[in-house]
Amino acid sequence: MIRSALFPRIIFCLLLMIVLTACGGAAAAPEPPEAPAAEAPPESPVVAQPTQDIQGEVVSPPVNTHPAPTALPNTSGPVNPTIHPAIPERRRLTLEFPPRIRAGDSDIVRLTLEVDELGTITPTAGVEGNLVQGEVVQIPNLYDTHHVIAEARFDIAGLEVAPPDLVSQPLAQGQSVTFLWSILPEGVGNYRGTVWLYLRFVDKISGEENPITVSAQSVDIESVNFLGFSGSLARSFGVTGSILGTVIGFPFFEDIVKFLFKRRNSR
Amino acid sequence: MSRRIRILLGVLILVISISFLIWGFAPTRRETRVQPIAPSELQLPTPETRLPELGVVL
Repeated sequence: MIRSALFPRIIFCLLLMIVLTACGGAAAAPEPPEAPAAEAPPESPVVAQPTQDIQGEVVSPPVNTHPAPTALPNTSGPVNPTIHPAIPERRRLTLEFPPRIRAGDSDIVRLTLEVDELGTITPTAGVEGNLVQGEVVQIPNLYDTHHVIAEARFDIAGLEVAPPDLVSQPLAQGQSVTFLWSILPEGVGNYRGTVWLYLRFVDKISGEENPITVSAQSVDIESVNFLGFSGSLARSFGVTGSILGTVIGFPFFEDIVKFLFKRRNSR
Repeated sequence: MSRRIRILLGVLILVISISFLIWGFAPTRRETRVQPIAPSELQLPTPETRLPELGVVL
């Protein structure tokens, strides 16, 4: 009884599904997703050729409804890149250090950022063939817009370094800055470290800071002794031994001393 | 004989002591490195040179 009541409904549902499937197939197929603009081939005027259908009737080409391609901006003219402010002088970084040091003796490591002899630079641009067309490039002076601070640090393990922290000095136009570190080796051995130099640009208006690393130089320092004696101990032994050796080894030293004492006593 | 030994011992002590003195007072050799720095290395860092900030995705 129940089966006979359900049967027409099942048939109806099946027919409805068939009809819906048929309608869906007749609908327009979904267009493929558009390719990204970057991967799209360059648009060229598409010339559609008339085609013939199966019945031999000439079918006119469809009207191109795409918008006309937009012209690119002309980049063949002179390009004016953004010129960043720069320091208008050539500089020279000089690092001076002792590659070998006596154990127990202190020494100095010196880092100097100085202006080169030909420090003033007139930047020019524009070369065409063999003809050099000099054109002065106006680079904004960084000293006018920023405070320039030179910072340096000497990192080395095993050596006592003073000052151990970052050292800062203001950098003015045409002026040199010098950093000095005093080093003292704790014992004999090879020590390897790095001398860092940074520049920190502080905007005079906004106070924004921009640090850059200018140089990081590796430094090797060897601490040595002489027959197990450190520097100060060797000097002390040298002075004492020289006096003692002179007294003992001088052939007539004893006679001279006796003669002087006798002369003094006779007076 | 003892005088000759004494002189030899004295000369030996003197030579060793002078060696100590020479080593202890000799000026240390210094190494100098000069590195020219172009103005392009002394300019403000451009945005392209900065590292992107790292983000943690959980």
